[in-house]
Amino acid sequence: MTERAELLTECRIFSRYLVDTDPGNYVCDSYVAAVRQLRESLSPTSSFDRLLLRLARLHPLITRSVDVYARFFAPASSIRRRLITLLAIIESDGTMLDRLERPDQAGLPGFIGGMLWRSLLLVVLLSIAMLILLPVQLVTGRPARGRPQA
Amino acid sequence: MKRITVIGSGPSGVHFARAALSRGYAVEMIDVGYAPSPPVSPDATFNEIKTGLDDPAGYLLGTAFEGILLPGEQEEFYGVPPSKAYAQRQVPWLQTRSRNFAPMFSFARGGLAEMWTAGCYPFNDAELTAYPFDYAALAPYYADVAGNIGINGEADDLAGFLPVHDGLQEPLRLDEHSALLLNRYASKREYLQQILGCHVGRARQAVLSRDMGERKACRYSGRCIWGCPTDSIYTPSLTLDECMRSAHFTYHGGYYATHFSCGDDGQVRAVCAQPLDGGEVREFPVDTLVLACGALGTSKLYLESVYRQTGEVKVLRGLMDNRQLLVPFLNPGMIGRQYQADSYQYNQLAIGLTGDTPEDYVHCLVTTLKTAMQHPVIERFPLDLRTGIHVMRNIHAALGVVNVNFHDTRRDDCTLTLDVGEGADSPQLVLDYVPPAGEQERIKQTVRRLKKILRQLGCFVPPGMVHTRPMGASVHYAGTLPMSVEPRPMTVSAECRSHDFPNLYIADGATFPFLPAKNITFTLMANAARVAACID
Ligand SMILES: Cc1cc2nc3c(=O)[nH]c(=O)nc-3n(C[C@H](O)[C@H](O)[C@H](O)COP(=O)(O)OP(=O)(O)OC[C@H]3O[C@@H](n4cnc5c(N)ncnc54)[C@H](O)[C@@H]3O)c2cc1C
Ligand code: SF4
Repeated sequence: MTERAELLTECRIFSRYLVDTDPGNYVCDSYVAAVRQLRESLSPTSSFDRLLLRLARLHPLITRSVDVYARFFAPASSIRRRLITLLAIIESDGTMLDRLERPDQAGLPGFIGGMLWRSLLLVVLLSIAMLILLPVQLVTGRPARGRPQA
Repeated sequence: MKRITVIGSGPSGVHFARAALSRGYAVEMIDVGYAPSPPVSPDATFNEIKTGLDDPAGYLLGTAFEGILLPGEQEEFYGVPPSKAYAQRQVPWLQTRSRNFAPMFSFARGGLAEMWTAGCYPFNDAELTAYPFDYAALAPYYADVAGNIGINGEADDLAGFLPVHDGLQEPLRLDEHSALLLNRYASKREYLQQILGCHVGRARQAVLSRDMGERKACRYSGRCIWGCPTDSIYTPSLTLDECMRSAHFTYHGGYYATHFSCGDDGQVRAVCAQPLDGGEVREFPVDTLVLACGALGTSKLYLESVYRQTGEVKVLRGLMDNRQLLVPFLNPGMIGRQYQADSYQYNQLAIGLTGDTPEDYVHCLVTTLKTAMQHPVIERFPLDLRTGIHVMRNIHAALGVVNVNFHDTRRDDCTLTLDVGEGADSPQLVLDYVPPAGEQERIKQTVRRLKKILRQLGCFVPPGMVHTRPMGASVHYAGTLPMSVEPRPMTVSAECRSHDFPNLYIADGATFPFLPAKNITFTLMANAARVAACID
C-alpha cells in the first residue's frame, strides 16, 4: 500500500470512530496533508507507540479501545495526536457541523442518563484495553510520548 | 515646524503620534512594522467561513496546520491563531533569556494589540496613587481616546471600580449564556456584593456598537478570534493609517532601532536602525525622541544605548505584569442548548472583587465559550475522544472561563539587564522576575472565593482545571523606567521626560509606577496622548 492509501484508510477508520461517518474528499486530503506536514510530531516514537497506531487502524471499535487506553496511559502518543489532528480538521469543515455541534434534544436528565451508560462502557473498554496493553507497555518499558496523566 | 521621532507603532506610539500631529508637530515614526495579509471573505460569518471557503482548515488551522494544538505540546488552552501569526514574527537582533517570566514581543504594524482582546479599563484615583497625577488629569485623554477608537460599556455596578468617562458607546448585544449569568447576578446582587465582595457588570471593549466613520458596528459574525475582518474591533494600525493621512507624518517601516546616540551635551542626536532587508545600518537624526517600543522593547533599547555610550551595563528594576489565572466553569442551566456562533466572542462580562485596600482590587473577565476551536478542550476531558465529542456537543454552550487579574508592584528584585557576552553583535536582554511574597496564598483565597461566586451564579468549577498562567502571559508590561517627581537616574518626570536625557520621552508602560489588576492598554493610549500634550 502506498503511504497515501494507508493514510486514507486510517482517516476513514478514525472518522468512523470519531463521528460515525466516512470523511469527504476535503477531510481526507487535508488529513493526508496534515500528517505529512506535521510528520515529526505525529510519527510514533517507540515500538509501543507504533503498536497502538497499528491496532487503532484495524477497526473503529479497536480505535476506541486504544484511544481510551492512550488517554490515560499514553496521552501524547502518536494515535492521540493523529486523532486530534483529524478532529481539528473535521471541526473546520462546514459539512460536518451537525455531527459536532448539534446537542441532543434530551435535556439535562437525558444527558446525565446517557453519560451514565457511556461511562460504564468507557470503564469496560478501559479495563479490557488495560488487560491487554498495560503488560505490553510495561514490558517494552517506555511510555509512548508523554507522561501518563489522569 | 518642530520634529518628533517616535519608535514603535503600538497603542502607545500611535496615540502619541496622533496627539502630537494634532498639536502641529511633524512626526517621524521608526518601526519594524510586519503587516497582515488582507482579510479573507470579510462579509462571511464564522459558519459561512466553514461552509463557503475552499479550504476552511487553511484559514482556521493555518496552511501548515500550526493551529492544531497537539496533546503534550501546549501548556495553555489556546495559542494565537494562524491569521495573527505575523504579529508574533520576531527579529534576529532581539535575543532574550529569562527566569520566571515568559516575555512576548510583537513587531507588527500596530504592535501586540493587533492580537488583543480589546478590554479597556480606566484606572481610578486609588490605582493612580503612585502616579504624579490623578484621574481628573487623565480623564480628558481617556475620553479623547475612547471617542477615537470606539469603546462600548455601561455605567453599572462596576462603576465604583471603573470610572465612567465620556465617549462610551452602548454595550454590545449579550450572548445567551452571558445574559443568563447577568440575570442570576441581579437576583443575588445583595448577597454577592455584601458577603462575597463581588460586583458584576458589562465588560468594556474597544469594539464598535455603533458605526464610526468608515468602521462598521459589530455585526456579530463570530470571527473575533481570527481577527475582525471589518475592523469593528479597534487595532492600533487603524490609528497608524489615520496618522499616515497627515502630510506631516513620515513612517519608516522595516527598521529595527538598536540604540540612540548622544552628543557631548547629553542630548540624543540620532537613532541607529537595522533595515530588515539586510542593508546598511541607517542613522536617523533626532530633535526629540519618543520611545514607544513596548515596556520591554523600550527598556532594551535604553539599556543598549547606555551601554554603547558608556560601556556600562545598567540594571532596570521594577518589572511588572499582571498575574493571571484561568478558571474554567460549567453552567448546568445551559446544558443541551446550541452555542451561539453569531455573537461577539471575547468577554462580555467583568467581575470586580473588592480587596482589603482599593489597590488590592481583583479584576476578572468572563468569557463564555463559543467559536473557539473545540479540539483543545475535548482533548483534556478524561474520556476517549468519541465520548468527548458527545459531551462537548451537549455542554459547549454551558462552558466558560474566568480570567482573573491581580495587581503588581515595582520590586527591586524584578529586573531587566543585558548580557553583552564576548564579541556578541547584539546584547541579550535578561529578565528576572520574583513573584511577590504571599502570592500563592492570595491565589488560593481568590480561587476559593471565585468558586463560591460561581456557585451563586449557578455554575461550578470542574476539579483540577484552574490554571495559573506563567508570569508574562498577561502581556501588561510596565515599571522599568518609572515616573518620579524626584530626578533620579533611570526614571522619567511626570511628563515622561527622561531625567537622564533631556530630549528623550518615554510613552509606553515602562513609565508606570504601579500596575493595577486591570488591562493596561487604554491607560497606555491615554497617557501617551497626555505626554504629547505636555511636550514642549
Ligand atoms: C493576545 C493578547 C491579548 C491582549 N488583550 C488585551 C486587552 O484585552 N486589553 C489590554 O489592555 N491589553 C491587552 N493586551 C496587551 C496589549 O496588547 C499591550 O498592552 C499593548 O499592545 C502595549 O502597547 P505598546 O504600544 O506599549 O507596545 P507594543 O504593542 O509592544 O508595540 C511595540 C511597537 O514597537 C515596535 N518596536 C519594538 N521595538 C522596536 C525597535 N527596536 N525598533 C523599531 N520598532 C520597534 C513594534 O514593531 C511595535 O509596533 C493583549 C495582548 C495580547 C498579546
Ligand atoms: S467584532 Fe467579532 S463578532 Fe463583531 S463583527 Fe468583528 S469579528 Fe464579527
